[in-house]
Order: sequence, then C-alpha cells, then structure tokens
Amino acid sequence: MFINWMLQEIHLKLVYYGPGLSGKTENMNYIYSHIDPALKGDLISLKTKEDRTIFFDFLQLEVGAIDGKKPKFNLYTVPGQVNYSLSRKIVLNGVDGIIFVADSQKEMMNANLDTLLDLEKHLIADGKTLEDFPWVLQYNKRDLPNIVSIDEMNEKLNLFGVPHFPASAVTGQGVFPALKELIKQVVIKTKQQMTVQQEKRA
Amino acid sequence: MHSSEYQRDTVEPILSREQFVSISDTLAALAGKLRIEAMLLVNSSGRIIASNIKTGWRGDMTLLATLAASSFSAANEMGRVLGEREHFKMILHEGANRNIFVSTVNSHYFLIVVFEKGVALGMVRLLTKKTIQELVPILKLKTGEKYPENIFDGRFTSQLDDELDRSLTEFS
Repeated sequence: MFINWMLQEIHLKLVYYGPGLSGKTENMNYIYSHIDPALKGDLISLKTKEDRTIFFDFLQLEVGAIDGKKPKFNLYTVPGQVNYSLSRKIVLNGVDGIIFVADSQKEMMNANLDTLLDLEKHLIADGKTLEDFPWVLQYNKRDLPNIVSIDEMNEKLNLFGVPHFPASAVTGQGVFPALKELIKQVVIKTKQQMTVQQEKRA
Repeated sequence: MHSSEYQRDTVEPILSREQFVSISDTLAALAGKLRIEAMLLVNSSGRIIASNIKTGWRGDMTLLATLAASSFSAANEMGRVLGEREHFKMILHEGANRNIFVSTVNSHYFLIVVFEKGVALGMVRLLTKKTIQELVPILKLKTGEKYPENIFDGRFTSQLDDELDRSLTEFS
C-alpha cells in the first residue's frame, strides 16, 4: 500500500494470478466494460500477436473520496504461461493483495496447483507467505461442463481458508464480489500492520 | 529502515510533507533548466511520488509510471540473468519525436524524464544525475511524521465498504 499524504491518495496494487487461460484478463475486461466510466482509467494490455498476455494488463480504478482520502486501485494481471515466471515476479513487486483465478475444469487442477506453488515461491522470496498475505480464490469457468466441485477445489487449493468465489468472468458472476472482498482483506491487514508499527514507535 | 524490513512492510516508508515539497522543488529546478515534457519520481512498483509536467502535456502519467516501472524491473532482471550484480543505472527509449530517460535514484525510487528529440541527451544525463544527487538525501531524511492513527478506523472502513458496494458494480 502506498499512501500519498500530500495528495491524500491511498493506492493499492491488486494482482490477478493464475494459470494460463484461466480468465485473468477476462476478469479485467469484464470490469473495464461494466464499471462506471467515470471511475476507470485506460486498460492497457501487453500481449503477444496471439492475444496471450506477455507481461501484464493494467487498469486503474478509483472510488469516491472517504474523509477526504481518495482510494485508487491498480489492477494487474500476470502472464499465466509457465515460462513467464520472471515476468510474474516483476508484476508482484509491491503487491498488496491477490485474486487467484483458478480454472474449474477437471483437466486444469494440476495447473492450478502448480501456479499456486509458483505464487508462494515468489511471495516467500519477498518475505511474505500465503498464510498471512491478503488473497482470495476465484473459481472461474463455472459456466462450463466438466468442472470440479467447489468442495473439491477448496480441498485442493484453499489451504488457508481464504474467501472463495464461484465465478464466470465471461458472464460476470463472481467478478466484482471477489475484487471487493480482496480490497476489504487488504484494508484489514494494513490496519493490523499500522497498529503494530505504531506500537513499535510508542 | 533496512531493505528486507522494507519489503516485508505492507505500508511503504512514509514521506513527510516537507520531503514532498523539497522533491517538487528539486524537480521544478530541473524543469527550469531543460525543455522537458514530463518528469516523474516513481517508486519501484510504479506509483507516482511527485511530478513536474509541461503545461498542456496530455500524456497519462499513471500509465507512463506503470509501464516505466515494469520496463525498468524487466531490464534489471535481464541484468541479473546476465550476471550483473547491481541494478542498471539508466535506460533510454528513443522515439521519433521524443525520448524517455529512466534512471535509478535508489533501490526504491527512479526518475522518468520525457523530453523532445531536439534536447541534447548528454545534457539530460548530466542534469538528471545532478538532480538525483539532490534527491537522494531528501528521500533519506527521517521524517518524524507518524501515520494518522485513525486512517483505517471503524468509520473509514464502514464508509469504504459502502463506497465499494456503490462503485464496484454493474454500471447502468
């Protein structure tokens, strides 16, 4: 979290993480297409000719000022393909919260787990852990056949009991609820950390 | 603050109003010496700390800062792959009409300078280096400023929840 006290702005960096083709960019597209235009900036996508994310997508959202302070949310996606691990590491720099977009299709469960482990590896390298970092799970593609039950997805992926959301980024199911919940989780975590810092200073 | 401690903190080191003013003055001084379109002091995750923009400039500062931060991080990773022990000090993007010069200030901040093609690159490098030398001690100052204790108090979080419910939803 970055707070610009001069401008009274609160910036959060929120990252959509998940395996290739799980629907991270689709989340961003849905938000961009359906949110009040007055609250959004431009959507930029760094992608290959084949329309696959090569670095990240970025979208800044802002909501109305609260007590004079303007919250701004910087949304990023990461490239999901396995060989772009270094790009994911770069995008995670300074991250405040993560929406892990898991693909609900049966054949994608191993990819979901591998990517979750990849995420944990990057977090640990930055002194964080999945256990104490704000993140939520979005079980995407619930509109498709051949999907794993929510119970089974929780059993395999939700190792720390974080909030989870059945979703379809194409239809919008679970898109805004996951984002809202993540922001709340980040604020709770930051509040706790500020309290600890104040106690240290006292 | 030790760098590893910095990385583990959710909230970045605080900069005081006095620091912001000094930073803005320093950027303004550079802008007075060079024909610059835009100048941004940005942190390593692409958030703008301070800026100095030519009147009428219509670029999107947020996107510029985001892309420059990522580009700079990517360059540093390339350096690491090649065995470089330190971060790159600068990168230059040359365009048909304007150039973008990005230089490291310290491990947390870098400076983006956008200037027209006609401006001598040597002059930009020289004056930017001098500006960075002035920015480093300003950014190191101990601020003494404390976090407002109630920034995320119950009233704030309740209002934020209401605002999120109102804003992060289908627009009709």
